[in-house]
Amino acid sequence: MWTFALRRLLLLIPTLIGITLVTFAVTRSIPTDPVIATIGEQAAEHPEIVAVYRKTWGLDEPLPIQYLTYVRRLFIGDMGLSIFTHRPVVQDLADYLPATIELATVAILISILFSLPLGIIAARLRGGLLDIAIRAVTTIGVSMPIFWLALAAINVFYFHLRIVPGQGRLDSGLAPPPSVTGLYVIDGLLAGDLTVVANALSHIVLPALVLATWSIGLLTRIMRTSMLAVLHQDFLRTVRSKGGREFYVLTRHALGNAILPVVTVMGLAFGDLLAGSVMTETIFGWPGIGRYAYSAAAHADFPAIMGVTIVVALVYTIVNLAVDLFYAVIDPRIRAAMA
Amino acid sequence: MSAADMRPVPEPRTALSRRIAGKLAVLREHPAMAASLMIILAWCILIAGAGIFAFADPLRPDIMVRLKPPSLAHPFGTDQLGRDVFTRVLYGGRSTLVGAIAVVSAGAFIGTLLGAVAGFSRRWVDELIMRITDMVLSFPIIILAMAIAAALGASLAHGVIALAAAWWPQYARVTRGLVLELKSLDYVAAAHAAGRHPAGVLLWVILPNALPTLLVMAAVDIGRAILNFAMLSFLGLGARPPAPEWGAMVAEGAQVMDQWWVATCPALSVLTLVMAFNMIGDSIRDRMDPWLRQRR
Repeated sequence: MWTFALRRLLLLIPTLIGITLVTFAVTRSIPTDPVIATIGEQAAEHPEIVAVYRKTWGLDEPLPIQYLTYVRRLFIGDMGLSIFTHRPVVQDLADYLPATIELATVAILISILFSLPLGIIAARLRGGLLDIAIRAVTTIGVSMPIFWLALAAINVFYFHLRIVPGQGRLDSGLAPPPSVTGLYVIDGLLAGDLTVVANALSHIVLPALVLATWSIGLLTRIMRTSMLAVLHQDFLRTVRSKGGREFYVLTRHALGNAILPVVTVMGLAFGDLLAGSVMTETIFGWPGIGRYAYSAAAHADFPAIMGVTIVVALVYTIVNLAVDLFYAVIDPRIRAAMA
Repeated sequence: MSAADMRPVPEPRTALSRRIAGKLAVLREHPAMAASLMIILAWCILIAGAGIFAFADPLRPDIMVRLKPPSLAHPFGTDQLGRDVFTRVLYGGRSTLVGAIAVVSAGAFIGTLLGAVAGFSRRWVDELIMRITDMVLSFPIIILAMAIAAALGASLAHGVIALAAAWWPQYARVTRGLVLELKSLDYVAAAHAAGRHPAGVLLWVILPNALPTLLVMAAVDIGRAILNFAMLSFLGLGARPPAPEWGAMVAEGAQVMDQWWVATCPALSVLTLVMAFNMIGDSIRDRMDPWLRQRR
């Protein structure tokens, strides 16, 4: 188990090098002058700023050296200054990332909550009306332009029905809980402040639901397919013939065998949730890196958008690593193969 | 031998009509697939014949009729500048669909080329190409595309380039797999033995046999490309207003959500077209999966 974990962690190194190579390539292959792109046109009018910038980032050196400088600066947490906010990009990201992690985590929890039962029911009642209905709804879910769904949801639930609070992570009268994890719900619980927890939850539920639409659709479909492949197997017949109740058969015996592909896709879906957060956060005014990426794109704030790209790729990689490790936890066969 | 036996057999014709009938029977068995094909066909006709089906000018504002709800004169209503939403949806579909097809074509072309070379070449070339593929795969598509589009500057063409640059890796992987599988087959060995140049073998013997799979993959992929292209435009990184494009139109409609038709009509257009492509993809996957087919 530990050797497997270690080997998997070591594999992270080439991936990280790959991520920096791709982002570096994007930075250097753009047709505009990278100096103007990264410090902005205003600053580029001052030759002394340009000179300092060229020296810091080794822009007069050959490309491989430039790359090494780039990686070294990344390593010490220097992603440059945001052209729009005039703050270090790393600082911006540190401020905004927890909000996105919180939103994406709640969204993935909502997806699991909906998609596992729906997928199991659809598989069990295959071909029935409920199965057809679930399949129709999930097809709509994966085909939905969520930017429109977000707009429609705000319009209906906030402007007309007034049953959800407005923008942001908390009502404006409330102070955020003392920061431990940066996730307001958890920090609120840690501080024992239930008002903040309730308020944070009421703020997060609608954006998380909208964000989860796509992954609910995806995970339900995978769950259904995977369950179908398990349902006709002999060991389930054995359990049934021993008089096992259907609910017990499905949850205790079938689910464990059908869940692996769902877990894989869950990891991949998390990356898509981070990407989808650009839309959701922008529309819901959620102060996360998705909205930050949008405003960066809108203001041609190149360092900021590269920072988001790196961080998202990093989180995506780490989540998929966690999924790989989680396999070993839930599948005794993999554990045995690794021992 | 009787006279009846001497009659020329109209075989090819029967075979052809039987084959067509067979294809249609498949559609009858898969109503979802038939419906999806009809939806796509209908959209293609509407979009291609935008000038015939819609008579308004998609760009000219007419303040006198701004924000009118759907009516006979304006089936999808009018937007805040008084432009006919139906007309703009039809013309906008051109940008969206053509953009999406361009993304998939470019992505599939680059991916197929790289994958084919990887599967056919020496070990280290293969390794190199596949590691690059994995690198690009570790980015969510829309984030990488945003970065590239932001660097290039927002325009329809740049949106296509940005998405295509993030789109190719899956094609590289699939093509490599196919080439590895095909290159061990006898007729490929025969082509080598006949003294054909290796590049010729790859291009004219192996790739044509990989093509059907790749074409199906690309056709089904268009739905996902539409969604991503519309997203990029919604964020202001693809097609730019006032040019109509479905994602950009939803963004314009965002300011007047109480006049629901302005944003909802282009959004529903995206939804129906993407759904149609997704349902075709599902049907094909179901048919290809022997276990599911047998259980149907």
